[in-house]
Amino acid sequence: MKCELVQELLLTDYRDGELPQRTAERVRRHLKTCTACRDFERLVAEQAMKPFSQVEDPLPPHSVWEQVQERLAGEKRTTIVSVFTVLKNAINTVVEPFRCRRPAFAFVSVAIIAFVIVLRLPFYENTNIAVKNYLGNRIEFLSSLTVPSFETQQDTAVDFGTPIEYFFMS
Amino acid sequence: MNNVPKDIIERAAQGDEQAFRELYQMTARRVYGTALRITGNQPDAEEVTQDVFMKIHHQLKTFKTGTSFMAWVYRITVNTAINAYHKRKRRTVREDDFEIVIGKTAGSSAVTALIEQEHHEKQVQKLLGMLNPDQRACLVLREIEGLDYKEIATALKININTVRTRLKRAREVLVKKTKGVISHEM
Repeated sequence: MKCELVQELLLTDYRDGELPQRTAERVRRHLKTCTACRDFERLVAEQAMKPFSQVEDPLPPHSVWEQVQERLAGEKRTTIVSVFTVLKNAINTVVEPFRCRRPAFAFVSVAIIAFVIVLRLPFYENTNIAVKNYLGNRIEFLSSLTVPSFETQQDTAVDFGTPIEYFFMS
Repeated sequence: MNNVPKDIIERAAQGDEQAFRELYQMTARRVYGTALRITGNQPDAEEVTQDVFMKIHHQLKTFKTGTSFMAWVYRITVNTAINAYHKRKRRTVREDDFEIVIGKTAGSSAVTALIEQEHHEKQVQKLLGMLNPDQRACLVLREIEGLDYKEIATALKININTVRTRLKRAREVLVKKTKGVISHEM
């Protein structure tokens, strides 16, 4: 095994116990015979490993948990407010088209309403009835002018041909 | 990597506040410790810890129960802490004068007090300060949190060879540069 490879492994896998047993054994054998690599191993151990060996994670101050709780409570409040906001927006979306925001739209709306009202007024109803009566009379009059049918004409002695002839000649 | 019991995770995901509290108690030390090593200062670490638990609370429903919960937590922690580190770095560059004023008037902040009390801690922070955030995250997860390469790769969503390379570079930096720091501090 070359020193370069051994020293690389001393910085990584060998030191961290990531090497397969056979390779680790080869490194150990090399270290027994190579002073330079043994010195390097000691250097790595003292300067890059030992300072961290007795380090423990400190406890966070209690204020951290309090802050987390406060932030979570704040978010809950915001969620409730946002639910109301969503509801308000939904209502606004439904109501919006019915709002008169422009004079033209307002004028058209008033005109339509006025037209509907006029249609429903009583004098308009009376006028309608008068027209209906007049038309009824005229229809009645015209129907009184109706001639007998072609079949009935065959029974008569004289055949006038057409209904108009019948009308004038009879 | 000690994992949190499945039932606590499930209850917390369903909105059980007591379960979420238990979850916090079981993981807060590791989250805060990792955040502290990566950001290098206590106020940022506290803020990162808060953010991490807010994210956990929001995303717990989407967590896949078959996977490692702690790997997921470490991933959120490391990403949040690295972001906080970069943000702080940009702010420090822009607000250099402000930082100096704070340093003079506030004197020893909580983190300085901690460093003064904890000689060993100071040394660790100095060593980690020599590394870039990615190398730092890998080294913290390996040396302090005790994760193996596979777990680090899962936690950081990176290739196992990338883990190896980052650790190698980090240790090379420490071997080359720390001789002075350690002999001075000891």
